[in-house]
Amino acid sequence: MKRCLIAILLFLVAGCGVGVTETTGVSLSAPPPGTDYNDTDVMFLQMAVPQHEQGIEMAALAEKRASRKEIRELAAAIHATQADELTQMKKWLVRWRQPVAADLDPAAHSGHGGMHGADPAVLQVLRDTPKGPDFDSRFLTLLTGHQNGAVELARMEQKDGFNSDARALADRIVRSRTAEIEQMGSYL
Amino acid sequence: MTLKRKLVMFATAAVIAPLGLVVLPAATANAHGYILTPPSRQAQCAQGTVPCESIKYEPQSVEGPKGLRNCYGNVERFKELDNNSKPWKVTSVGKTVDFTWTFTARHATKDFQYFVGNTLVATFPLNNQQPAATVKHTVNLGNVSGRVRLLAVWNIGDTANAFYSCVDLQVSGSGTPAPDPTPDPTPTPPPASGTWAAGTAYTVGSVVTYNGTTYRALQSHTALPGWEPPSTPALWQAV
Repeated sequence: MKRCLIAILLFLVAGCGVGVTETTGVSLSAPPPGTDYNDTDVMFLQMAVPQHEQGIEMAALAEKRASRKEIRELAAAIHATQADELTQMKKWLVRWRQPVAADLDPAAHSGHGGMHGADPAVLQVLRDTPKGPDFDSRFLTLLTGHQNGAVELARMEQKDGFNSDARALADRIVRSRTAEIEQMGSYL
Repeated sequence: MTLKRKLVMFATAAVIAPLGLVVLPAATANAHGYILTPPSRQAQCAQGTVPCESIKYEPQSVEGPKGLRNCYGNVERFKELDNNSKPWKVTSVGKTVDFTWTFTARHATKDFQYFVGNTLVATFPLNNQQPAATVKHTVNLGNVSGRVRLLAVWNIGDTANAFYSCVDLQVSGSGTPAPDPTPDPTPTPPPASGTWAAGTAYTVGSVVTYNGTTYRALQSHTALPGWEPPSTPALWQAV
């Protein structure tokens, strides 16, 4: 039984890729030998994947339901650019032989307000809001907070990430999300 | 504690917790948020209304011990939020104002409080519940009138901390808000050709050059920094 528990623990830890360093005390920023990424890169991408997926769903709803043309157009561009980024990120994780999702149990995050990745309640509010002025203001409010979270994640990568592709993506995320927040602010 | 540190702790705890070995400590919780409308000072920094330092990139992080009555939560790098001489946009309102919050993470909440000076004008208790994804409070400002700096405080339920947002208001005597004296002018988009430039409205088929390469727009959008043609194949195709 004890051996079984240890096996499960090892499996879970390996599946996460994040706890490993915390429990072994290996430096967080040094890439493992023979690789060009560190675990900040991995964590950034694993957190950003669900973050992007939710942003895409929010934008897709706004493409259909926003009343104002400029909001629909911004949403469509956010949808398109984040879909490109998502494809890239998944490709890198696969190339690095890392799980695409860090989250073993989605419910584990519920008590944390969705952390800085996805927050299902946010999506639900938008799904439940019909077309009309309420939709526009809720979308702008919720996506602003969502993109604030994206900037926070990307700044972590800028600070501690190693991989040049992932760092370049983080730079683009900081710049584009900051600009999106400005643009959404002008529509509020 | 940095985000990364919190994430590592969280991820580690989340992995081990199902085995019953560790109870997820509440201290790893990561609540963040601010008032978006009327635009708080940090919202104005984030939206580029007022030029700001690092607060621009983390308007949700004005977190300090409970009980403060300033705009920056005693976070030194956000000190400019307390500077009343910065050109903060003042929102004209009536006696009753709707305040909308945005969150990057929602956590158990003791209450939301609104102060003008040292006077508490409204409290919205939440009994340690998680706030809804969208929070809008309707506050009656009572006797308050004229130009005021309102302080909103989000008191977290299970930590010693709170989040602070200051909102600059011009409160009129009547019950209805005064009309905004300076409506935003509609920007005239420059011609959509030539060198790619952020802020330009492009339509499908617009042709631009960027670093010597010519691109054609695949969908209508206003170009933003970070959406340069080489890194946005969904928006731009090299021709």
